[in-house]
Amino acid sequence: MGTGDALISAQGLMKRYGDSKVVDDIHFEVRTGEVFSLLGPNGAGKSTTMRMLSGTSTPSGGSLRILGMNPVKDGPAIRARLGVVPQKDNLDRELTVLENLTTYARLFGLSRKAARERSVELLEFVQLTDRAKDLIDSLSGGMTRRLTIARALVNKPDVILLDEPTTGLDPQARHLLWDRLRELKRNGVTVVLTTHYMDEAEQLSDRITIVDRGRIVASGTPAQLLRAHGTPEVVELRHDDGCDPSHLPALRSLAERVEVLGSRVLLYVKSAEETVAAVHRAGLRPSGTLERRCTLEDVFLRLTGRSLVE
Amino acid sequence: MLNGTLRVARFHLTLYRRTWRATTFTSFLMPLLYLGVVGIGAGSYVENDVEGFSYVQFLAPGLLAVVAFQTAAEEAGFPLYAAIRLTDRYQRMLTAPLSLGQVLAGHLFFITIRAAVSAAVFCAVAALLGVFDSWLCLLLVPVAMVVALAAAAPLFAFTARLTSSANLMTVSRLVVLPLSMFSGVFFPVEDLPAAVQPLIRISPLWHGVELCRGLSGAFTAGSGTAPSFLAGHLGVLLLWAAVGFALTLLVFRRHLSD
Ligand SMILES: Nc1ncnc2c1ncn2[C@@H]1O[C@H](COP(=O)(O)OP(=O)(O)OP(=O)(O)O)[C@@H](O)[C@H]1O
Ligand SMILES: [Mg+2]
Repeated sequence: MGTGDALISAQGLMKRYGDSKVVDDIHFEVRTGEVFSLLGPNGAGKSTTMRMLSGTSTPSGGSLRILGMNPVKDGPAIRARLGVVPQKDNLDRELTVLENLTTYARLFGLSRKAARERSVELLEFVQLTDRAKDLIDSLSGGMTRRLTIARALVNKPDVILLDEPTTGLDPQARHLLWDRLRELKRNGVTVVLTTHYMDEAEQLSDRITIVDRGRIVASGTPAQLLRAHGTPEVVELRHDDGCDPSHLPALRSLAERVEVLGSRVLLYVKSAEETVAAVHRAGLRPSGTLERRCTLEDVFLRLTGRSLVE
Repeated sequence: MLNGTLRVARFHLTLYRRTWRATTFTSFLMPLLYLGVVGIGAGSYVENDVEGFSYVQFLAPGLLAVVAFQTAAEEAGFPLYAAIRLTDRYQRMLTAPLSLGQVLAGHLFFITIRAAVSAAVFCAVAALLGVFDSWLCLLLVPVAMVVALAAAAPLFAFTARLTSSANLMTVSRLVVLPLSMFSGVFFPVEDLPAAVQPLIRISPLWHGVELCRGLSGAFTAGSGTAPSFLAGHLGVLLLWAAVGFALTLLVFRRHLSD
C-alpha cells in the first residue's frame, strides 16, 4: 500500500449505476514503466474502471490517484499525459488515416507542423504508412485498432490505457499489436490494459488483477497467480457422448482438482503424462486427451467456477 | 479555458470542411429564395409600408435573424445527436485534455461562426440587390451570431438528453418551424392573436428579428436606436445563451461523464 512510486493508485474504488455496483471495492497500484492488466469476463467492470482512470466517469466512492492527480478534478491535466484506446474504435470516417491523427493531435494543442510530423512518425510505428491517404472504412479490423493506438500516442503519453486492444483480431494481428505494446514498454511508457484473453494478460503483463462482477478475485504477477491458484499441468479429457458421472470419483482420486466443463473434464495435476497413463490404467476411455500447462484461464475457473470467455 | 475552446471549434471546422456542401441549402439558398420570392416577388403586391419600411426592407432584417436561428437549430439537431450517440465525436474529444465546458463552448463557438458566414453572405446579396441601402448592414452579422448562440444553447440541452433520434423531428416541426413563421419575420407580431403574442415575445428569434430590424432602420434611415432597446433585446438573448449553456452542461455531466 501507498508505495511512493505508484503512478496509479486505486483504493476502495466504487461505481454504482442505480442499485447495481458495477465496480465494487477495487484496489490496485500501477508502478512507472510496468504493464498492468485487468483481466475479467464480460461485464466485470473493466471499461468502467478505465473510464474512471481517464476522468471521463466519476467514481461513486473510493479514492483514485493517477500521475499524482485526482481524475475528478484534474481530468484535462491528466489526459494531457495520457493515451486512451477505448474499447470501441471511434475514428472519424470522414477523414483519412493520416487526418485522423493530425486532427486529434491538434486537440492536444500541437501546431499544424508538429501534428503532421508526429502523425507521420506514428503511422510508421504502427506500420500504416502506405495507408495514410485511405479512408477508415477501407481498413481491416487489425489496422483500425493499430490506428486507434497510434492516435492515443500523439501526445507522447506517460501512461496508455488500452481497453481490450485485441478483441476480435486474428492471431497474426494480435501478435503484431503485442509487439507494438512491448515496444512502448521498452520506451518507458506505462501500460494499463484490459482483456478477457488470459494468454494476452500472461504474455504482456508484469502484474494482473483478475476481476469478476465488479470485484477483485485475485492479484499478482502471472507466475504468482499460477503458483497460488493453479497446478503445474492440466489434462483435458474429451467425451464425445458426454462424461459419465460414475467415473468422477475415480478421476478425483487421480488429480488435485477436477472441473467439469460440458463435455470436457479438466484434471489439475503435477504431471500430465503420468495422469494420462493412470487414466488409461483405470480403464477409462475418453474420446481424446490433451496435456497442457496450467494457464490463467484455469486460475479464473478455479476462483469463480466460470470460464473467462463465454 | 479559451485555448481548449478554440481547439474544439477548430476541430469542428476541420470536419465541417468535409460536409459543408450538404448544408448550403439551409445556410445560403433558402434565405435568399425567401428574400426573392416573398420579399421582392410577393412583396410587390404589398402596397402599404410596414412599420415605415417597404415590404422587402421589412422582411430582409428578419430573414437575417432567421438565417442565424435555423443554422443554429440545424447544428443543434441531428449533427449534435450524432456526435454524442452515433459517431462518438464527443467521446473522442473527451479523451483529449479538454473539459466538458470547453467541449461545449467550442462547439457553440463553431456554430456562431457558421451563422456569421451565412449571415454575411445574406447581407452581401441583399446589399447587392439594393434591399439594404448601406453596407453598414454587415454590422448585423455580430447580432446574428448572438441569435445563433441564444438558440443553439438551449436546443443543445434538449438534444443531448435524447437517446433516440425520433424526437429531433418534433423540435423542428413544433418549435423551429412555427417560430420561424410567427416571430415577426413576415408580418408584425401585433397581427397575431393576443393569446400567442407573449409566447412569441420570449423566443430568442423574435428578439433577434427586432434587433436586426431596429438596427437596419438605424443604418438606412438614420433613425437611431435607443440604448435601452439594444440592451433589452441583447440582454434577453444573452440570458437564453447563459441559461442554455448551464442546462446543457448539466445534461452533459449526467450523460457524458456518468
Ligand atoms: N452507463 C451505464 N449505465 C448503466 N449500467 C452500465 C453503464 N455502463 C456500464 N454499465 C454496466 O456495468 C457493468 C460493467 O460494464 P463494463 O463495460 O465496465 O464491463 P466490461 O468489463 O468492460 O465488459 P466487456 O468485457 O463486455 O467490455 C455491465 O453490467 C454494464 O451493463
Ligand atoms: Mg469493456
